[in-house]
Amino acid sequence: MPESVGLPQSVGLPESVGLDELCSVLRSKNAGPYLITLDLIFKDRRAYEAVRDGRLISRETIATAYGISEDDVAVLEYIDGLKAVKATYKRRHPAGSPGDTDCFGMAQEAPLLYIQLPRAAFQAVL
Amino acid sequence: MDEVRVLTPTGCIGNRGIHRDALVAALDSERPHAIAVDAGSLDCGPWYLGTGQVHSPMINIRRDLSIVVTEAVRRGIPVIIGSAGGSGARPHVDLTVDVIKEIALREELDFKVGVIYSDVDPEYLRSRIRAGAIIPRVPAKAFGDPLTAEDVESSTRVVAMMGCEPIIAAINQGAQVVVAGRSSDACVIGAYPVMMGFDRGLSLHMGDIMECGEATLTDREGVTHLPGPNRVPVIGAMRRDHFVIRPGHEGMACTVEAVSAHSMYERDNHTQVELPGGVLDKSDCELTQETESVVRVSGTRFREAPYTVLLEGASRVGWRTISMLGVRNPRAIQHLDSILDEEQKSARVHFGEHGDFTVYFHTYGKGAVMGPSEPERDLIATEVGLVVDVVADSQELAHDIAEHVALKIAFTRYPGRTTTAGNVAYLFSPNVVDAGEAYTTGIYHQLPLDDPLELFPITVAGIREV
Repeated sequence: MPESVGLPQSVGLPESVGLDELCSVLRSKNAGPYLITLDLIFKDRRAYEAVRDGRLISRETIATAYGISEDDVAVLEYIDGLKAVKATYKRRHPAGSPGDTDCFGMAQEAPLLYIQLPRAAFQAVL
Repeated sequence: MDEVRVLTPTGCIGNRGIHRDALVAALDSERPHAIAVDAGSLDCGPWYLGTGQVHSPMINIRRDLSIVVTEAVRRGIPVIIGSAGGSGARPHVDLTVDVIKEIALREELDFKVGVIYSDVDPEYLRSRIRAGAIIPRVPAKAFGDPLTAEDVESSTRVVAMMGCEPIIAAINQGAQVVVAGRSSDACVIGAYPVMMGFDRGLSLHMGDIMECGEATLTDREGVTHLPGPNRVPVIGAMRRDHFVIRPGHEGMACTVEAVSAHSMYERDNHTQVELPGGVLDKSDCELTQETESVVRVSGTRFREAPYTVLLEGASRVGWRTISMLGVRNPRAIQHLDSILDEEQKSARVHFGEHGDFTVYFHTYGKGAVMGPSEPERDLIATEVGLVVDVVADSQELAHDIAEHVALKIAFTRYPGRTTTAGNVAYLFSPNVVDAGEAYTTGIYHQLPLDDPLELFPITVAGIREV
């Protein structure tokens, strides 16, 4: 991802691939006042299937990326029809309440950009 | 009737402005049976529900309502507005009705308006709790703790989210324009086809897709970048065993990809949507690209369940004052954490006897957006935007603490300091801004109801008489 701006150095190492390279949509949004939901829509069906079949994104992946406990990842689903992964996790503060810094939860996707997947898993695609 | 067409002119009344020409053209070519549009949600946070304020610009609200009401009434098309005024509580509904009345008088229109309130009396909730009703915080699989008398006590304002039934009742009573309080947006758009006897699962799925207006469309020609109001309509045509979605502007297209992506939007999961009276189950739903810009949807089911409505309650937790400071000195940035720790402790000692308060420091450039989830912990920013955010028992106390803490940060000594004339850039005079009441969402619970109309009083009257 050399053309990308402001992304971490580790992303783009020859043996790994970041989600920014694989996905056309990486977004976050409130799902009610107590949850944030992450949508990861893949560009390529085979890339999605490689992630799904290898379970390369799990509750643990999300928990580690966000520094939260696995129990706080309320939903993790692979959606074949959309070639997408959806992960929903508990907010630290209810949306828009004191202490919260993202009322709509629409700017919480950045940790996804740091998730590293083995490039070898996508040889057929990349 | 083999087909019912519903037109949604924008994702939210007042939000970014209806493209008038696109709407008029779509009304003429599509001849919709109903116009249905959402006007808010809880997404903007609990402050709007708690205070009764609107969250869209009033100029936009007046303009959008004027276009929709005038064009619809002159054509005899019923209009359904859900979550009126944003949060859908009484002040929001009343304000919406006032604006519509102004429009009717100015445009010399006369019609019947159906007004549906959705406010919930705290005493009613206490009596339901006493009677042993099971009222879980939702989604129950993630939370599930029951509504308590304390939750009710601490809430400033509570609304319930209505289903299709009160909206249908208002239309059946003769309303040409329905101004509904807090409503499920899928039901606002699905109510008319449900009323006309079409499949509930398909009708609500159509609403679920159309609720954000053109967000479910692909923009082929940059229509949504046109300067000025540029929200274009989306049209749903409900048939017996399927429906189609099409754009209300030739520069936009409805694509399977866009509809699919929208079906995940703002939902905790993809296939199941809990609605009043059941679950919208999209797991067997089939999306087909019928033409280049039209999508056909079939196979959605509605699994009936005991009737429930979602309760939303805002609780006032104090009054807020903020101060915005810029930190540019590299050494000040290096020592910022310890500076803020020290001032946090100092404020406690200084003001502790005057009441309860919390000081939040939001350090933009240093993890403000992500908090503990920030992956770049070691990155050192060139400058840091520091928001001092005080929430206290009273506005006066919050104000004094914010003034004090900002000043302390401005002049505190830190190792290697050269800035003996002051450490930070105050963004404004006044140096602090009183932000009024601060709220949290204390109630987000699912309430069983025997009668879908029970909490939603309906009045239908001539617009000039309301």
